Amino acid sequence: MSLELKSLRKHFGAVKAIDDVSLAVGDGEFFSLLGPSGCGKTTLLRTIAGILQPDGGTIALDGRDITRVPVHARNTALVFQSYALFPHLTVFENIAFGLRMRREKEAAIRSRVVEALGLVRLEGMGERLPAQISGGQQQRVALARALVVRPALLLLDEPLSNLDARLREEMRVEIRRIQRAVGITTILVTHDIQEAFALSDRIAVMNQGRAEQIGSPADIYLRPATQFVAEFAGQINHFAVRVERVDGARAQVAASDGFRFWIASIGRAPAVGSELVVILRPERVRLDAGPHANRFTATVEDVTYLGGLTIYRLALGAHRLLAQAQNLGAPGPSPGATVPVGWEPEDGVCLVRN
Amino acid sequence: MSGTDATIQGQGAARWLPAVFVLPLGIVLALGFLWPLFDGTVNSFHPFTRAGIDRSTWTLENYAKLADSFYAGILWRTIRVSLIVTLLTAALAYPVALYIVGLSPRGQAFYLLIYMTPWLVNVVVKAFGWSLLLSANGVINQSLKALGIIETSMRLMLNETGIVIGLTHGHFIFVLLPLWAALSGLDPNLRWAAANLGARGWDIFRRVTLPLTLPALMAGLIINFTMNMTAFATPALLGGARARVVSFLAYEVNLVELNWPLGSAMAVAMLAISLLLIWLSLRTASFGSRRVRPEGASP
Repeated sequence: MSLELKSLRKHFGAVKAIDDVSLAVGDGEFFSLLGPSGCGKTTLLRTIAGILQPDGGTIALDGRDITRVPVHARNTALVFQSYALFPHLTVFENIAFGLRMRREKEAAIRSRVVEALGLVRLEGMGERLPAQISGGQQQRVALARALVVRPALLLLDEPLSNLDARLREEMRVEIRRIQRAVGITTILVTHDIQEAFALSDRIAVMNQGRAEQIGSPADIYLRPATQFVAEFAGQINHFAVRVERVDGARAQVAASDGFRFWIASIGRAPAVGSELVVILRPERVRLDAGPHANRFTATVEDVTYLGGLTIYRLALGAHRLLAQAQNLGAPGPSPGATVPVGWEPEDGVCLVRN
Repeated sequence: MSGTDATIQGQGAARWLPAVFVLPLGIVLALGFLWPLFDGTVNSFHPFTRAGIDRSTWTLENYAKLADSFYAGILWRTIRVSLIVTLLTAALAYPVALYIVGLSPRGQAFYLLIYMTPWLVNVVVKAFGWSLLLSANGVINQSLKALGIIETSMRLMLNETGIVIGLTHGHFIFVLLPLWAALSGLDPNLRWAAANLGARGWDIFRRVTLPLTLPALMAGLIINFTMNMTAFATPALLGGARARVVSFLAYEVNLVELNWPLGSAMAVAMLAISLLLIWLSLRTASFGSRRVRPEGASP
């Protein structure tokens, strides 16, 4: 089912936890609310579930206004960060809980719970108590308990944050597989950019209660709308510059210390004299002497070896520049070395400075 | 003495040291509790004569006597009143505990202190306080008469009603405190999870809150029940001679009639009945706390 939020607002005292959020999630879409802790993403999820009441705005499911529908009648299924499994009930009864509340027939309950156990690959675990199974298995039970009621909306609140790194990767794949198999509209809350990128069709990056940008993972990464989004989506280099010269599809910009380089003026051409922030991802900074439009010589200050990648911290005049290079076999430069660096005008992302 | 001997002795001392600390309390318990319990149990099987306890013969007559209507009636009243008080306390304490848990920390401390006050007041003073309210010319009867609701005074004390009121008030905190602790330790997300899965208020209470707080409730109820069974001053002052309970009767039999064998038989019977009821209630509670369904079995 599709979900539509219109100018949703929620205050806690003077704090605006949700500040005028409007967004639409399509049928079967995997949508993520991404942001740092305290950005309002969990509050937004709980408001969608009906645990919290908004102070303003509307929530509509398939066009039907559910803003005032109480939590037990919303037909949304929330997977809690702590899983919130009922410790006194077996895995089977945990999963059966929602079906019992819907007064389903005993035979139907049994077959659907067994089916759900199969979906999350926990066949034969029905008689265990939550305390008798591992964290990853508890996570699957929570997922099965949510899915078995065939909810209109699946809400996931940081579902992988309590798992160790390896299990997290595994569950990430598992969640995506199950979501595709069931075809359910899903909203994921996470602070983990990799998780959001790996799972989502679209992402809303949230900051201080507002949705700063809504778009596909590639939109968020390649075309960030704000510096906050750019920084949240990964390491960046950023330069505060002023446009000096426009030359067709390119423009030359200069930092206050006279450091000049070229940017691409795709779409709207920047006016001469306008103030911009140029964002440059470390992987776009190339450590070679190729015929790049922007070519400089930098000094290596620091090298961080990460296995497949190496991060170089470079000094470029008064500027610090992060560069990221894939390790393809040849040894990279050491600290103190002088290296050529370069990038194309299209590599920079321009934001209007405010 | 060689060094090896000293080492061995030192180890021995370290091993026995905890026992040394436990010993004083052990002696007190053995002499003041276990021995009288044993001696009393033995006495309850000896006949009582004009000359005192006849330790040369064994009999069941003391227990047989408990079966006659006078003693059995008092025993039954004690159990009945204790159970009524315990069940009444359970029904009253749950809403109170749920309410208190919803308050701010300061509010919780305030309300718990209020509910603790009965325990801070001497039992006898408390009973006299209640008699000011409950007696034929007490505040309650006077007010109701003045309002024209009743014409003649209601009998609110010197009967079982008086005992129930006094004990419910006096022992309320022993159910409230464990219940409050259990409820405040309960993950609020469990209730939200239940609601999210379609459970309404009553279902959430019945299927999540109650089963998860049942051990605490049972602990509180057992303490409450045993305290009701053994209460002396409150039933004596608010129940009087008309509504005697076993503790009051045991006092008369042991210290006025000096019939220790019969008194011991009463004590043993009380202990046995209390233990039986506690065992039954624990069995019932553990029965209800876990639902297991065979998953492969066909319907």
